[in-house]
Amino acid sequence: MQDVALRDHLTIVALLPDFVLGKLDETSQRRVTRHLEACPTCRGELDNALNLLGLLADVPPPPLAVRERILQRVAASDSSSAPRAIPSRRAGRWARAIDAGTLLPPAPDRAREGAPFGQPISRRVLIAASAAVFLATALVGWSYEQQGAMGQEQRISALMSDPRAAYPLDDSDLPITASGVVFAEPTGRDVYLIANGLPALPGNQRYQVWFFTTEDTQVSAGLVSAGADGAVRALLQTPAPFADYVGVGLTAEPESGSAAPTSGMVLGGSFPPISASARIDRAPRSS
Amino acid sequence: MASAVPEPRNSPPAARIRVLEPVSRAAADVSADLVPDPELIAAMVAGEPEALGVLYDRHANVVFALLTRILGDREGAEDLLQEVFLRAWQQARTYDEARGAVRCWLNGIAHNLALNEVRRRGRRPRIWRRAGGEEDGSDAYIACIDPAPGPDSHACSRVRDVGMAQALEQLPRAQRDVLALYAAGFSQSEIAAKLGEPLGTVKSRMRRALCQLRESLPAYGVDAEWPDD
Repeated sequence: MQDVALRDHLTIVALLPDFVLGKLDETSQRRVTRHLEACPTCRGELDNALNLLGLLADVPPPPLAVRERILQRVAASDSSSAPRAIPSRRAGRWARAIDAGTLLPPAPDRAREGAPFGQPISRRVLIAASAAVFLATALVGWSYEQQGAMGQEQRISALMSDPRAAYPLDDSDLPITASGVVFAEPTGRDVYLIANGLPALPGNQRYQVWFFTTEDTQVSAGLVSAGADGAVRALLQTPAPFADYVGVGLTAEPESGSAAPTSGMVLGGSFPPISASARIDRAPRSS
Repeated sequence: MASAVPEPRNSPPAARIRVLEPVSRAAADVSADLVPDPELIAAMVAGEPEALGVLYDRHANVVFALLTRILGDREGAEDLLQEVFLRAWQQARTYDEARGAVRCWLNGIAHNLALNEVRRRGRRPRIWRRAGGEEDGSDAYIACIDPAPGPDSHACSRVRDVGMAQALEQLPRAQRDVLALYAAGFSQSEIAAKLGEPLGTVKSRMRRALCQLRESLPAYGVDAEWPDD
């Protein structure tokens, strides 16, 4: 009897990958469903298969609008559909996160090595983090400064319309929660910088933006000022096409600027090599 | 809110910027990324939509990839992704931590919705269509099984996450090939036909590969959430 049960169990497990994809015939589908209802072990196997397919599948992230639509629908829903079961009272780490206004997604691991601020982080992380940074910014009511010229607005819009052109700034020499993103096209020289949570600087200092090349040299892309809320929005120009650079960093410099960085990196990020990033999927570099 | 950055030092120009003195900031301790998923669910139950946003940022990509593979089209997957998170909002109080991780709960909602949609459509899901418009039902996906493995050319390169790619590299080549086709949306019998292998062989390779990944992914920092975590 046990042999029969074990055989059935093994049969079900072997069917799970196709069950996940919805590619079983009706009879097998029902058989798996029935088994799953009674077998926690196989439900665990199903969870594993579902999770792995989601992690393995080569699918570009969903459009930013989906998140917006979800939150709009939640906001528009009446109180009867809200899950509110107890009076809203924040507690624990969630409450502290809310109070601190740090509703940002997890930062990728910073333990990286290589060109300027470490190895380029994965494209998946870049896209997800940059989209999330952008969305989180939008969520708290950010609206970028009205740019003087319409052409500048259009250039910014063009850059921001492509989430693949977004590179998060998630690295810092300081234990701060600043974050940001740069939008850029590989062959262009326009770079739109968004940064949040930058520390306030003394009156005689400004942030200077540096772009780094593979030769470990850097060029200045100009000085920017953070608002009282630590936010920066700036359309910058790189001397060479963006593809020539492997990283960006903001440092605190005298208000007239410096020829080279003279302080630690307050916020920065690395870019994947453009030649490889033309493909969304990229294996880790061997060196 | 922000602490001042120390005065810049007169150090020689350096391509690699060095560490500044730490700036303490209480907010660093309370970043939303430190809030565990179950606490987000509790906040949703208490009516905090921001918690849903954080949960979405954390899990939407994986759930969306899953939906897209099952349905075979992005448009349908976008609709269902919306539905998944709306249901998560509405049914947050039904989440039971003892029954598994939040990711598993979300995947389960997504899977049920996707299978219902497949049934509703009354047909097998379409194979994922690549950006070039080429139907993947052709042999296009064989391209991801490169006969000359290399850092950029083997099946791992189909996977965006570096940690995942590293974990895949530890698998035998035959298992990677099976997984690459599975991740592209092929059933096991379709994979067997494409590889010219017996179905039983494909199933056992699949089984071993899934088990090994389950064991090894956490060591590579992949944000895997398994049922028994």
